Amino acid sequence: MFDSLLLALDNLLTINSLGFLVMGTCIGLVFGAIPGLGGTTAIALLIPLTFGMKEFEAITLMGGVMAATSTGGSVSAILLNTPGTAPNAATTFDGYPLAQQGKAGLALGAAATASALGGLIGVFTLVAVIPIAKEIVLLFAPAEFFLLAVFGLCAIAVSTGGRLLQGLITACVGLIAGFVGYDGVSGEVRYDFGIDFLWDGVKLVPALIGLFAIAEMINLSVKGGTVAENPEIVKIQKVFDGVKAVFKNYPTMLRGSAIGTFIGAVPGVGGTVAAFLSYSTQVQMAKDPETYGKGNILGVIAPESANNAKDGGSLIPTLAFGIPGSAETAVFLGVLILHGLDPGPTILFEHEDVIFTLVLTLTISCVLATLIVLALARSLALLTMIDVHVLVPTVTIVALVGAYALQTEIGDVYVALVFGIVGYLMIRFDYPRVTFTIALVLGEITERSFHQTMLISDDNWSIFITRNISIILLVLIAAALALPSFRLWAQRRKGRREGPA
Amino acid sequence: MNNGMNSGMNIGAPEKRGALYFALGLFALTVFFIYLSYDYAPNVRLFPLMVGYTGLILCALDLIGLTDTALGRIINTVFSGTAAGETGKVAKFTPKLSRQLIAMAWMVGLVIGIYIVGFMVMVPAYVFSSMYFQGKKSVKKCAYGAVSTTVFVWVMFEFLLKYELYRGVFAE
Repeated sequence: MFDSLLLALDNLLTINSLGFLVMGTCIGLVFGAIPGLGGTTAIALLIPLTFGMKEFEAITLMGGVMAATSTGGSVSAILLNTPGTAPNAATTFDGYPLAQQGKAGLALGAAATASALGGLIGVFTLVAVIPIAKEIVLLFAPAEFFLLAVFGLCAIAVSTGGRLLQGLITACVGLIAGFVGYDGVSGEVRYDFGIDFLWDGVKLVPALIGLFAIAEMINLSVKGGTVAENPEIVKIQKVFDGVKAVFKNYPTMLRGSAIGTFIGAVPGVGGTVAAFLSYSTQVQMAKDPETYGKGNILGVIAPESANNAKDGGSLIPTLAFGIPGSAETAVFLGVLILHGLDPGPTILFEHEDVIFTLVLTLTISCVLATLIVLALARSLALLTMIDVHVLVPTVTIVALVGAYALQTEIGDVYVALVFGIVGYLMIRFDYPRVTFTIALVLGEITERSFHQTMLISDDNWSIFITRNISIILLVLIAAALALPSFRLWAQRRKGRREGPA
Repeated sequence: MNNGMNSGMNIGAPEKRGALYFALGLFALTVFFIYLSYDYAPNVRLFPLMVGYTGLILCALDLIGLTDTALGRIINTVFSGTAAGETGKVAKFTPKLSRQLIAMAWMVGLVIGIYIVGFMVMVPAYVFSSMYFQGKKSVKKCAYGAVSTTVFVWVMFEFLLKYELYRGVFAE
C-alpha cells in the first residue's frame, strides 16, 4: 500500500499532472457554477482531450473536475438561488437568505470550507475502506457480480424521484444498446444491420457526449435566455468568518460528511439525497429549527459537507466492483476503460497506484477549489449570466469535435447526434438518463458474468439462490424494487395515525 | 423531479400525446430488438432476450400507466410510490413543439454540414449563424464568437493534440 502511495505521489508530482489537476479543478468549478452543465457533462466533454495522455494524467484531470463541481455549484446556489448542480439545491435554503441579508461572504466561506473538509473526509474513508474492499471482492463469484450489477441498476432506478418504471425501461434500453457489435462471449457480431462501423459496438465516448453534452445543449437552446434567471449580484465580504464558522460548528460538518460518505457509497442514491438528508437531520437535531430556511449558517454547512463527502463514498463501489454509483462515476468509469484500466478487482489488485493517484488528486482539488472559490466567487457567479445562444454553439462544437477525435471517425459524430436527440427526449419526457448510462457501461460485465455463472453451474439457475452473498443481493434487489410501495404504505399509515388527531 | 407525466391527470393533451409517442417508440424498439434476436444462436441470444422481454413488459406497463384507467393508476402508484392523483402537481416547462424541432434541426444541420464540408468550414459557419439567427446577436459579436471558437478548435485539436480534423466528403 505504501509503495502504491509513493508511486501515486511520483505520478502526481510532475508539471503535466499538476497542470491537469489545476485545469480540471478550474473546469469543474466553471461547469459546476453553470446550472444545466455539471460534472458529468464536463467529464464527457473532456474525455477526447485525454486520448494522448498517460492514464494518471487523465485521472488527475477528471479527478480535479469531480472534486470541484459541487463546490462551484454552491456559488450560484448562494448568490443566485440557482443551484449549479442538483446536490447544491439544499444549500439554497439558507445560503440565499444569508446572501439577501448581506452575508454572502459568510455563506460562501462556510460552503467552501465545509466542501473541502467534507471532501477530505470522504476521500480518507475511501482509503480506509480499500483493504476491506479487497477482502470483500474476493468473496464475489460471477453470480454475485451479475446480481450486484442488477442491484446497482435497480437501486439507481429507485432513486430517480418516483420514476422507477421509466428508470428500469431506460436501463433495459441501455443494455440493448450495449449488445450492439462484437460479443466477447460467443465471438459473434450482433445487431450491426450490416454496417461495418457498428462491429465495434456503440462507442462509449460519443454516446456519453451525446447523452449529456449534446442533449443539454438542445435543452438549453429550447429554453433560451440566460442560464440563471436572477442577475442580481450581492457584495461578498467577511469570507473568513464563514471559514471560522465551520470549525466552530465542527459536529455539524462531521455529521454531514459521515452522511455524505455513507450515502455516496450506495449505488444511485447520490449527492442530492445526501445533501437533503444532511440538511433535514441538522434541522431535526437543532434547538432552533425555526431559524432554518431564513439564513442559518448551519443550514449551509450541513449539505455542503455532505455533497462533497459523497465523492469519496461513490468511488468505493465504482473502483472495487466496477459498479458506478452515479452518472458522473459512470462516465469516469468510461475514462478508465478508455485508458486500458479495467475497474473492479483488476484495478483494486493490480493498479493500486491509480487509486491513490485519484485519492491524492481529489484531496488536492478539494482544497484548491475552495481557495479559488474564496478568491473568485463573484466572477464564478457571473458565468451564469452567459447567454444560452453563445454557450450552445461553442459547447456543441467542442462536443462534436471531441466525439470525432476519439478515432477520427465521422460515424462517431452521428452517434453523438443520435444519442443527443435520444438524451433530449429523455429529459423532455422525464426518463432517467443515469440508468441508461450505467446500463450502457455495465452491459458487457453483466452479460459476461451471466454467461460465466451459467458455465460454472452447468446451466443450473439455482446457483443464484444457493450462495449466501447471492441471496443477500437478491433480497436487496427485491427490497429496492419494493421501496416505493413501502414508502407509500408508510406515508398512508402515518397519515391515518395523524388524521384522527 | 416527478412531473407526473404518466399520471394522465394534470398534463395537457399535447404533453400527454408526446409522452405516449415516446413510450410507444420505446415499445416498438424493444419489439424490434426481440425480433432481431431470434436470428442468433440460442446461447448468443439468451441474455439479450432476457433483457428484451423484461423491457417489453416494463414498456407495456408504462403505456398502461399513461391511460386514465384504474389499472393505469395502480401501476403509477406502485412504481412511483405516490398516491394516484398526487403525481403531476408540479407543472413542468413545456416548450412548443416547433421550438424543439428547430433546436434539433440545428444540430442535424450542423452534422450534415460537417459531413459535407468538414469541421474547419462548418465550425465558424455554424457558430456565426446560430448566434445571428437564434441569438439575434450583432454581426460583430457573431464574428468574434465564430473566430474564437474556430481558433480554439484548431489550436486544441489540430495544433496541440495533432488530430487531423475531418475535411468533408469531397476532400476524403
